[in-house]
Amino acid sequence: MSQTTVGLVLVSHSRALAEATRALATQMTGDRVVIECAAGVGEAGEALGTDATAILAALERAAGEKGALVLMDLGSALLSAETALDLVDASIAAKTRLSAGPFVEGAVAAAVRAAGGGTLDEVAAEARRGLLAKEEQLGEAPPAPAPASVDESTENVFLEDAVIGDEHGLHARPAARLVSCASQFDAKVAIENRTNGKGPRAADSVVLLAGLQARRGDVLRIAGSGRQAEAAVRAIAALVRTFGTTPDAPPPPAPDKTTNDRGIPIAPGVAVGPCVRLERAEIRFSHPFTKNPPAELDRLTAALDEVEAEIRGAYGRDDMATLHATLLRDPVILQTARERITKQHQNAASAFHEGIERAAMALASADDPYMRARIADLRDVELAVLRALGAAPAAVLPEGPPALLLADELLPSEAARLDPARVLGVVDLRGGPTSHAAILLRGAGIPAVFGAASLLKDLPASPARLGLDGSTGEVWIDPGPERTADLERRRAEERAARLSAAAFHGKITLPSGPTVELWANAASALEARAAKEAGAFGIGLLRTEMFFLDRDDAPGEDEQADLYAEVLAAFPGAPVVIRTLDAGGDKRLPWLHVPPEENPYLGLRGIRLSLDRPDLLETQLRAILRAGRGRDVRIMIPMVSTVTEIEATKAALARAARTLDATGKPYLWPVPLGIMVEVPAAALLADQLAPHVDFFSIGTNDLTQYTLAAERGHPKLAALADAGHPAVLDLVNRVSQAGRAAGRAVSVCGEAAADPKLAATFVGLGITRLSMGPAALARVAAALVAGAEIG
Amino acid sequence: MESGILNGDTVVQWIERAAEVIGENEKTLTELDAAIGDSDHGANMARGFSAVRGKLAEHSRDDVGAILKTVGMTLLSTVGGASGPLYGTLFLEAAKVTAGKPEIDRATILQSLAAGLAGIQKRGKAEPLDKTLVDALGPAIRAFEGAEGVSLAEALSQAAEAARQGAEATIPLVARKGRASYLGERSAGHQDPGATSMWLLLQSLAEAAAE
Repeated sequence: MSQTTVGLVLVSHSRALAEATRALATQMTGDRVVIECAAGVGEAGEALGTDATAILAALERAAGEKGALVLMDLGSALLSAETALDLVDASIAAKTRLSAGPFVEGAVAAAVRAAGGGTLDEVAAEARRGLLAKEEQLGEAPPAPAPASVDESTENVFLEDAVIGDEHGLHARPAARLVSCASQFDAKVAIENRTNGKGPRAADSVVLLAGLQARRGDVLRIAGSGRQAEAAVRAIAALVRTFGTTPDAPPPPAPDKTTNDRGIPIAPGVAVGPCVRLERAEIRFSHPFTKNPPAELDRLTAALDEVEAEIRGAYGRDDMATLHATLLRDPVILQTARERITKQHQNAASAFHEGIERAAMALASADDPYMRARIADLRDVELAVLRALGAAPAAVLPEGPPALLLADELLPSEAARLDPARVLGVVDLRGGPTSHAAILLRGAGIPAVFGAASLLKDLPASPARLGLDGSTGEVWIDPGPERTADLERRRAEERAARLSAAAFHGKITLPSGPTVELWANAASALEARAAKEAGAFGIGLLRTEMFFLDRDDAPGEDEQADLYAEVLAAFPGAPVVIRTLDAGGDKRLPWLHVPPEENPYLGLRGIRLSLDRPDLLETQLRAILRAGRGRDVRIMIPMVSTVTEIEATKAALARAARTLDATGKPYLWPVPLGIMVEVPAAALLADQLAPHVDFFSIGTNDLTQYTLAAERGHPKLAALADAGHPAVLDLVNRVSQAGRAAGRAVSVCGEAAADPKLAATFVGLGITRLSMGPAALARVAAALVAGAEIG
Repeated sequence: MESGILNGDTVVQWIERAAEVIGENEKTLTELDAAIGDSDHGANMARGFSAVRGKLAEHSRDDVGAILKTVGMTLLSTVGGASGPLYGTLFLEAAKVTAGKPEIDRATILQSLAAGLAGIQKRGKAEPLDKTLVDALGPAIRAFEGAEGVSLAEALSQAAEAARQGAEATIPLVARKGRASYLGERSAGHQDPGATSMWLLLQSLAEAAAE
């Protein structure tokens, strides 16, 4: 690159120190300043020491037309630099300065000044002042720099005040722009902070300007004298006002291999080990045409059947499986695909691909971010079908020892196939907390961090080692021996805790005293059986809507009763909480024919919908009552916000019972009725609702999204999908207290109950009934028994 | 080779011998440095002289100045610590005096050593009794200069002996230069590693000249 700025040479005994200092400086200046390191000795600079010949070479690279400044650490750095100056070409030596400035602070200050177009003298002066800000901050200031002032004896003095808008105040980058702006005028400019009384300081030094300690909102008085005073002052005032409002062209952040910034914590647990990338072979349609369209149609049908079976087998009957199965049969996709086969004689793979493309385009143009997020699911379905057609190879995990998987948006079908014995953890560059892959990883107990793109952009191309903490979102690239040992120790502890919890049967007694019941959430008889095997105390939440997602007509009473009975059979004698249909929001049941809503989460959903369709509600209630005969069944209604809704449900329940009486069918009576607390109103009025219900169950997912006004599937609001937010915990606490005061059981049945830390928090708030996905039971039990988080 | 001059072969033999001796004494030098410095002097010098030895293996012997320049440049880039620029300067300054000479006599040797000392003092700003290699090289040059009526080998041997005594005399001194100066009074009571390696270098020269 052509060097229009003063270059820097960093001479240090330590290659690492010089590189890190360069990174700090580059963070401020991007690549506008050439910064060369001459540090370390030995072939790769691995030994501590300095090398005069390396400094000489660095000088030749760094010294452009404006020369170079050399910053040195200690001892031989100075001797070697001086030796290099003796040896280097005289024309370069003449424009090289060795700086007595502090190595790190001096380098950063010098780089900023150089980037602002400073001369060698100015850059050298800035480096010498490198400690000034620190000295002032610590009260160790040498005699304060002579106050800058404008030359008031001349007639041409100009003043203007400007308020600084940048949230970080007058930090180094804007200060450098300010200095650079001032240097373009034939004027002497000084700046004073009118808010805190600091200054005035000459506007030719970033370090001096730092002494103004200007924060956002401070008023800066810009004073200029000289020929172009007015122009200079106006320009600087205008510039100050733009700080923070115009993008301050952020320079590329410095490479930092050992970053421990955070991604999104997805699945708890720690992991450390070799890193393998999930390799996805590119799909190619090399021979996209067929001579036998009918045969291709058959192949497509067979592939769709195969994939559907695979989806059911791999991830059960949850809403994701249902979504994928629905996408698989989407008429837009299939119609496009069939037309391409029959009319254009494309083969099944390329035809299905085009169908998916068409659907993806439709989704991409949707206003609803939730719908757009489903493109990943479409791609997943596409890959599965293409695999079944032999057109796409399966994503492969390289063979080898157990490792951490590095993926770029892990697909749900891939997540479902991960073997916890081989995959120690997952770091996903994209992905959010509510993606289906995230839910599957939590279920499988594989520690994971998502949204890690910013942490890993400097990841070396060759596979490195990774460490992660799925509870905090921390990721370590090439963790050092100490970090590795620490992570391995914690992983061993987690494993030991899991083993000791293996004998868990529904209840655990905490070291601190209380006994906590762990219940399971389920959406199918299969899951209910898994919950039983995992030792669940009971079913704390049976999501009935999940039974009826992929159908065209309303389920009848008999059909429902049979399905519920199958679930209840898994828990003979144990309590099962059946929730009435919770449709609406992101769970749209086609057969309900609910008109599209602008804000489905704030629309006709949960009990609101059920009360709007009395037949629907009463049919479900009758089915529950019939299936519940002789069982410990409790009914729970979702999305309650008023007493009226509870009373209306009770009336419906009474009507259902009378209808059953009339037909002579045996049924369960009386039946406890409880409510989901997921609307903040219900939490706030829990003490008033308590007399009307038999129990409360807090749905943390919805309670969190309604409390924080942040849709939980929103890709940019992941940080607000936090059930540990103080506002949410405050509501949980209210419900807990109201329940205790009124003698009503309170449970938590949202995703948060599966997070050991949050679970411990809930227990701390007096909640002793937690309901979660079956896969989380053992882990949460172990964490609670370990008691580490309970305080 | 008992004569009044040193030729290129002898100079290379000297450096090879120095490399050997420094290699043998690496641990000692490091122990001395550990007492008052950063315990890298032995390793640094061994690394530098081993590199020099490699450079000289195929080096032409017909220009003493060229040999010394190669030694100096190599030491600059491989020693790492302050001894790199200091020993490097010693050899580079000596190389200037001896440039283009196939052999050097006593007067040139003296001139080379003196130029080297001056360069070192200029580079390191060290005065006598600052507890540095100047305290070995200075007495050695004075002894060499004063050794009249003896052979070159004997004169170099006396110089080496003076260097040894000079190095030992650094024991009670308080360091005023280099890393050891951070220790202040606590640096007293230990022999300076740089002065010690300088003695070894001159001892090697005396031995090479005597062969």
